Amino acid sequence: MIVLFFVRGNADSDALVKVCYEHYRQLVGGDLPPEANVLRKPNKKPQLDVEGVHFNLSHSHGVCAVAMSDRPVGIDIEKRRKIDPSKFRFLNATDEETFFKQWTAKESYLKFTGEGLSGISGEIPPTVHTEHYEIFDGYTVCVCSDEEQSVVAYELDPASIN
Amino acid sequence: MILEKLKEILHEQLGVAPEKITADSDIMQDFGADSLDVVEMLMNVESEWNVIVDDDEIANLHTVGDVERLIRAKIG
Repeated sequence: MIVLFFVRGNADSDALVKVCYEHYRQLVGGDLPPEANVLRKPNKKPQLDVEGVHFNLSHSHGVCAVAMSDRPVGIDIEKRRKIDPSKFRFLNATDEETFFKQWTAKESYLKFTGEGLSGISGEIPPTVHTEHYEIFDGYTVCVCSDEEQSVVAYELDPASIN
Repeated sequence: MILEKLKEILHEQLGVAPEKITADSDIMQDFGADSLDVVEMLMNVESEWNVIVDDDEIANLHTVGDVERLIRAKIG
């Protein structure tokens, strides 16, 4: 299962992830530790210090999104705005809706692998699963995982994030 | 001045006031830029200074100063 959390505003990333973990722990039950901390290493995908819980975070123009799961996961959220798809030759989009779907799919995959924008010109392999969601008007969200999973989503109160 | 031109680019693209932009500014964390903003900014950099930013260079670009140093290295 993948649990998605969304919050409006510019919440502190680590504080947000800790709150998401608290909710995730209550949802999935089991023997997960009461707290988790974000571990960051240069040029590495951030991880939690809890074995078996994976997360990824994305933010775009006033909305933060977190995906949390027992398997590696990547998430990208983008606010749709005016762009010129022809400038992005590594995508084949000719209209903005297609562009944002392709962009978020690629970004979510790069976040899944941890390679980040350095892999922007590469292809998404058929071995991963990407899924798009419409959560807020005007935003495109895509989640990438190694297999199709059930997904639940929650919107958090910004006041709950320290 | 490279930094001053970068401030113009970021102001036009993200609406950030130039006086709030410093070499230490983290483009995503401080300005709320998303991945698309970063790539668009780098496209503007490529166009402005006639340089190519390789994919594998993007991972090390977090602050305005990182971008400035990259440009300096490429234009000599």
